[in-house]
Amino acid sequence: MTDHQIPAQDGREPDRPTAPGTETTPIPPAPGAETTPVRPAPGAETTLVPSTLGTATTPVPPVPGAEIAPVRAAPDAIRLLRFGAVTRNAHRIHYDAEFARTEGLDGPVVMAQLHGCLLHRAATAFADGDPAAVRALGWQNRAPARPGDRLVVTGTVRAVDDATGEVTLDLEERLDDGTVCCRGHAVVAPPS
Amino acid sequence: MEAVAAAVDLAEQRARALIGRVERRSLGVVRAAEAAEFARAAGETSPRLIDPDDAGFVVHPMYVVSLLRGAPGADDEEFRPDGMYRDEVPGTDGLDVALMAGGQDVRWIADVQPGDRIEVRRTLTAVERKGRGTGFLLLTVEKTYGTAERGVLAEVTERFIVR
Repeated sequence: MTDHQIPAQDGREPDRPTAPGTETTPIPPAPGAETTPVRPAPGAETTLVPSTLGTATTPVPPVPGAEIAPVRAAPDAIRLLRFGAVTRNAHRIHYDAEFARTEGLDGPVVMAQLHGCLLHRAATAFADGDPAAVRALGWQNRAPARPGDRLVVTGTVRAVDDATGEVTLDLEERLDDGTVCCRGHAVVAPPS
Repeated sequence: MEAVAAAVDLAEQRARALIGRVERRSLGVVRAAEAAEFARAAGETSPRLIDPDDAGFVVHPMYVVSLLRGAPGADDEEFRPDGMYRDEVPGTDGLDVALMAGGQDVRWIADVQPGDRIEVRRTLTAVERKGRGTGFLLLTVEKTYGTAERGVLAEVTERFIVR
């Protein structure tokens, strides 16, 4: 384990980057679209579920295994400073490069809560943009992201509760090189 | 290295003594403008999250559970040298250990609304030693966020890494 990685909470080595070309091939975001959820391209091979849950705009009902639209972001140092300010988070590993290195990091790192916000955004996009439809969200931090790193949150439908209509999503946030920063899940309620 | 190991050992000893103790803290009153500022800082663009005048405006569900403190913030003596609050990670006050967030599990029971006066109740529920050698501590904290009038609005399980 190199010293800049977050210890895996089960005591094992953190996730390693996947081989080039496997699993995810991040697409550079369009200018000015730092955090805009990407809609599926016409003719895409996989069944993407950009918005679901039986609304009028639903192209495909949620089924286990279906992929959700990815969310991309590249939080920079300015965003980290703003986010730290509004959450009153003064931990130096988020803005003080020299200090971060004394803690075994390569430099400042993105806040765990900001990672959580990106996962929440992906789940919200799945819920037709209704933030309140996300009833639960969980994630584990697996590896740090640095300011300016391009992140993509992907997800798949794990299960659909026949009784309640709630959809459970498996979520993953990766760096461009495939390194897994977060693994998590969300529970999304059907429209009321 | 030995100093770090001793500090981690002491943090573990202290943390185990704190298991089950309930702590309370006020996060103050939720303001729509501040929730919108949070959403913009997080990179959101939806008017529902960033415009308090939007008909569908809601407090970003991640806002309250991401706050480390409410207004008016903290005094100088409440901070560790690393910038964290001395009481943020149980058992680590005054110890030269590295702290990292390990993740959260959030369950929303009801929407947080502008005007809610939020109180956090926190209980350290587990202390685990992980890894090889000195390894690291994994602390698990259970939190509830709520108001006196509306009850519990969100439940959070939060994990911290101490090394």
